[in-house]
Amino acid sequence: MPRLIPRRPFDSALVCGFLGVAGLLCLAEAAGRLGLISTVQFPLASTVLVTAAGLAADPEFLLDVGATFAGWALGLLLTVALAVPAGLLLGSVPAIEAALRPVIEFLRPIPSVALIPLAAFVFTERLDMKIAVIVYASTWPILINTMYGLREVDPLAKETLRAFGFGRTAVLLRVSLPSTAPFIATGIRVAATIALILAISTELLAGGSSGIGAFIILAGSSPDGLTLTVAATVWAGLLGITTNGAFVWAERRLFRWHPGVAR
Amino acid sequence: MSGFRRLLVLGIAALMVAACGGGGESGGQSGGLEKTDIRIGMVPLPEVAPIQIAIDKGYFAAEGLKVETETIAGGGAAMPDLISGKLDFLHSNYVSALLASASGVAKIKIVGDAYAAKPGNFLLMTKKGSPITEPAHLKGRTVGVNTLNNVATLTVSALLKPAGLRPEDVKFVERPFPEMAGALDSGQVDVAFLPEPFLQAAAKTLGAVELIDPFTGPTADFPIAGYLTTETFAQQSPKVVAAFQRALRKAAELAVSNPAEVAAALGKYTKIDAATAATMKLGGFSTSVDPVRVQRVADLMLEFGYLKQRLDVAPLLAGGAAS
Amino acid sequence: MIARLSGLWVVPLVLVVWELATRAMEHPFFPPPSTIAGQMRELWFTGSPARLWLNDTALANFPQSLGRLLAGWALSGVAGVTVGVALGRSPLLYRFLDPVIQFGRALPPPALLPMFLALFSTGTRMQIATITFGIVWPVLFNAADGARGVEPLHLETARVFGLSRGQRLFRIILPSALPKIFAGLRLSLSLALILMVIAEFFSTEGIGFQLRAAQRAFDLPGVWGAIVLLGILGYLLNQGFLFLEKRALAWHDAAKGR
Repeated sequence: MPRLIPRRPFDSALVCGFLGVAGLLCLAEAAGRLGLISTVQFPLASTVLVTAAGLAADPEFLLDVGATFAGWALGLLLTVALAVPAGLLLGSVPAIEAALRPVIEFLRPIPSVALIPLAAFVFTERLDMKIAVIVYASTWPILINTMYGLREVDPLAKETLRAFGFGRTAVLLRVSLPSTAPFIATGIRVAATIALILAISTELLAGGSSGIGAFIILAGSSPDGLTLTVAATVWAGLLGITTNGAFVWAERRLFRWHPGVAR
Repeated sequence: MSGFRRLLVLGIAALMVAACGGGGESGGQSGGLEKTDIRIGMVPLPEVAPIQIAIDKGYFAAEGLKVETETIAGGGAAMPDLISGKLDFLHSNYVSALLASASGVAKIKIVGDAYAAKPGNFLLMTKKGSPITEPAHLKGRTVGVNTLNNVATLTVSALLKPAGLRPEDVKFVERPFPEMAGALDSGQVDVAFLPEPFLQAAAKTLGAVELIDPFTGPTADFPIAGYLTTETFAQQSPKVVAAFQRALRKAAELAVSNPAEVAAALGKYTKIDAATAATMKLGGFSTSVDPVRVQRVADLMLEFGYLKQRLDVAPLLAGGAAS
Repeated sequence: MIARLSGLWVVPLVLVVWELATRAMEHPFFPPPSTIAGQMRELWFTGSPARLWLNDTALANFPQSLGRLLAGWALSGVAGVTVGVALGRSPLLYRFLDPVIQFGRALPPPALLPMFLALFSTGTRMQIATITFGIVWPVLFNAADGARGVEPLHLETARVFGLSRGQRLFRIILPSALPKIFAGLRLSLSLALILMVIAEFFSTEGIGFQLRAAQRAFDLPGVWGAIVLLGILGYLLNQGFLFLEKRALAWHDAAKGR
């Protein structure tokens, strides 16, 4: 059980994290004030924070954040539903993995910025297109982690089950899947960040009526556009921290029994 | 691969369904319009103010049109959205429109005019005290433009010609307008192509000075942007196109006669603040497409290699666009 | 060698299906691979065989792009392992930096370009910084995980035998984190190609610039050509990496006496 009130302040992740963020902000502010970074080129940290706080009170911007979040969640869900079974298949049937490896290694480094215009042609709804782009880019970490995880399954446990007459599927469900789950979870956590970046990039490149990316296009109409853009980006970062925190928390609860997680 | 291909096939199947089903949405009550809900994609620039005005003043509603606008990053970038039917009308600069049309990527029709350059709407600017004081000094220099292969690069190319320079003699670099002042300040670009209100802001924060107005002499009254639709849409929904044109013309007339309406509209679809909007040099809102001038854009594009062969723009105009 | 090539049987199959499908669709956005290959040849491979058929355009763009990619990747490897191991070994440091890191990695790189432009101006330094920042995270997290997971008994033993801090780092911690570090490096290598393209959008040469120019000109075969080129580069880089990894890990396993 974690202590509710830490004995020393530096034992608290919250206190330390807050100090870390504050330190970085001071550094950025100082760089701007001392002229290391020209404020014409990049706004001061304090200006960005004030603008970002103002955005929190802007109902239109909140709708944009909601739209980005919705696209992100749907995209990530679909990615998990596709990539985990694919990873299990590729990880347990080496022949398929060997055949598809060149194709996967070819597709992986293709930047989504190149694919977005093509996706824009194929899909007739913006949400579908956003989801498709997210699925494309965030499949890889889940797929690869699932495959790596299957490789690490204790062969003794598999052998034992097989000796008791369990079939291939039963072994997969009872041994392989549970012991691969923490690897899959890590993959999903990495994919979640990529999905968020992709959701915003798609809106940014393809436009739309809502979303953080569409807001950034709109910000481009103003001479103060850069400050607004950076402030919106800050909110994207906060969204990233929050979702990542949620995933870490869920992982700790789900996999308390796993040696790699229990600390 | 198979997963992606399946997505592709699914997407195309969905597209076909949408294309077949799209015509069926016609409302019985609105003067027999083929379609009443339309989507317009527009870049949040001052030049599309008439669209916002037509929405606010009810001009579209009076024609029986329910209009939804979408923010896009650029006419060229949103061309796939027009083709795939996510948008019914697209605000696009003429260079992207003609490039798309000539490349065969999109079969488009020009349905209306948005903006033609007036003196002071666009400027090439340098830093205060820059040694560049005339176009002949641009040799070997870096010119910041918002989009490569587009209006800015084309007009700068035209500007270099009388100075005896070729487009290859300068380096064009892409930078978004809001970042251009910073790029100019740090010397990342020597010259910046800036429209209102960015040129005003660069002058104020940086003391940037005018090198030249790129739209003078041979490029005076240069047509900047218009509204497009697909050939298919123009054929299948001529009444919608006509209704759109009537509402747009009415709004453009108001924008020309009453700049205060433009300033009010800017506050609704851009992030330009009211003080800046009030002091911006506007004008150039246009009520009809001038085929002669658009042809000049196409001819310039041919001269500087944007187009491989001469493009006749007259067949691209949809009925009523030029009247 | 033959066994390795026969593993690629799926490639011609995919190409044939792709060719047939795009020919049946006849859509300008989806040119058949034969058209793409023709455009790629036209663009980059009209040179003499002595130069691997690369022409002047290719030689003016490819080496620069690849140089930046490798420099960014190497830097992210050094930075990621250093910070990652420090975070993995020091829970206090981890508590301080975790929110900053989670924040940093959720920022979309295209939105960060103005910051890097302000810090490093245009040119190679800014591009390398963008690539490094964009791809450092997988290495950093894997190094931290690996360093955290070092067998405590090994460290205890090392301490008993009087190994110094540096010796413990290089003999115990780094070797045992190595497999995870390699997994991170492999992920970041294909990310590096993607970041290279983004970083080159605002420049005047490189593969990313050529892709952007083709997009602007509605040259769809050119866009696809760049996509295919990136795919091939990604495949080759990955193969090269796997080869190096096998050697390094074999040495590592041998050193561990397994």
